[in-house]
Amino acid sequence: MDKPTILIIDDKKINLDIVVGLLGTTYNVTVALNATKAFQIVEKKAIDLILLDILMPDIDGFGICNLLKSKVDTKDIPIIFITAKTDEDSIEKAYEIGGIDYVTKPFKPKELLAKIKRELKLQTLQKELTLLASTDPMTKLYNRRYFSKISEHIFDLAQRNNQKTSVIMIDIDKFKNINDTYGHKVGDNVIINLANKLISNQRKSDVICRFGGEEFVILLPNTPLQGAKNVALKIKNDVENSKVTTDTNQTVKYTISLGLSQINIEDTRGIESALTRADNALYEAKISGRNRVCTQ
Amino acid sequence: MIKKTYIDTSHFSNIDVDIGLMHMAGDEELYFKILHNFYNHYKDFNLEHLNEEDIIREIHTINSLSANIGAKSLYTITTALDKTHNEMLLPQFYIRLNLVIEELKTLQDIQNTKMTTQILKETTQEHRDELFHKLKIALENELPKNCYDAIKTLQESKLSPIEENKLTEIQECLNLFEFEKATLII
Repeated sequence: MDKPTILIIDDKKINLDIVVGLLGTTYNVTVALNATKAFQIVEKKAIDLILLDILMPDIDGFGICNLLKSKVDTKDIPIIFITAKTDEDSIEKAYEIGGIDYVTKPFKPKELLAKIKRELKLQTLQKELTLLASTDPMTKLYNRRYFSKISEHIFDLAQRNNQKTSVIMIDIDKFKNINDTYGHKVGDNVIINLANKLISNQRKSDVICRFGGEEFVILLPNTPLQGAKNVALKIKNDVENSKVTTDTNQTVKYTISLGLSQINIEDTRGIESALTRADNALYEAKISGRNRVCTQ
Repeated sequence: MIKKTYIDTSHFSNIDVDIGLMHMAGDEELYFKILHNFYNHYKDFNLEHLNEEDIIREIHTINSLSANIGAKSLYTITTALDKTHNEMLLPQFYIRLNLVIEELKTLQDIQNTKMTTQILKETTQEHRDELFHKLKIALENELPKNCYDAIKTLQESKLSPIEENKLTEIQECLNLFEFEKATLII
């Protein structure tokens, strides 16, 4: 496993050299002498923890922390303030604006290392918890709760960049029959098989989620309706050609129906109306014979 | 128990090596590197041409650095300056800073002697290319520790004049952590 990466931000090279010397063997330590460089680094590197000095020219540590906490991509990076300032106001402010800890210079090396280790451990647990709370344990796809959260973000992005974004709703045809005929274990295997098909057809920015029992949703950022239709047809055909084998070596074939819509980025209801239209299109696919793609 | 074997510091009276080493987790090489950097940075230091904000920041930095290196008396005066911003304390500050610098100057002399008498390893061109490649990767990844390690290995090897110049330029870039510029030199 790769070493965690720590970014140290301090305007004095000599201070950076001390911390690099103390932490550089245990962690990947990178450095920034000012805010501009720090933001360049967090844009291109995955940073696990930031050690941030307070007194700096131009933008001070508090300003940098505020900026990092205001950006979606950087708001969750834990920040430990590392400074010679020991007044209570500074310490209080550091915590108020989102710092997770405060270390005063000259720091005790073992204490600093222990704090970093503890924070990285907490971060790992936090990530595991977030993953558990946002994914479906059976398929490992995102769950409905996460979908609600991410879809708002994707809608905002689509609005800001005036990007066409589409949504696909998918439902396994006659799933109840599969469960009744072969049992729930086979039913679960069919769901997992479909999830794997969706993952194998997933493009980099697509968001797939298990929406309900046998229902799935795919959000396709920067994709107009025709593009989404191509993706949907590919998935439908892939599923049609697939099979699930039971414990008794029986072959189970299944199909899916798909409903599509394009998100109206001027809609004040966000993604909701697009989901309703995709659901209507899915209903249309069902009543018109199943194993097909319909759009609305 | 911290060992003191890297350089003789028995003549130090303004710098407590035990405290300094404790702040560097007992890493002598790191400690002497920081002392060396402190000397180079502050040997001609004065606050006269700085504005008020910069003076506060510089005093604040020297305050934490003096504590880090174990310069207790300098730490005491900068702590008072940091809290009170009292200009009357400045003459005392300069006196104590100069005492530390004078002590570190002897270290610098030892370091210079050591460098001129160091026997460099003979290496093949292929090996040196490999070392420069390692340095390039460290620079591309913007990891100073790896850069310093690679530079140290190169400094212990006998280099061609072109390679020496290249290494000097890279080190100058690293003084400002200009990794991209340094990568271009390689």
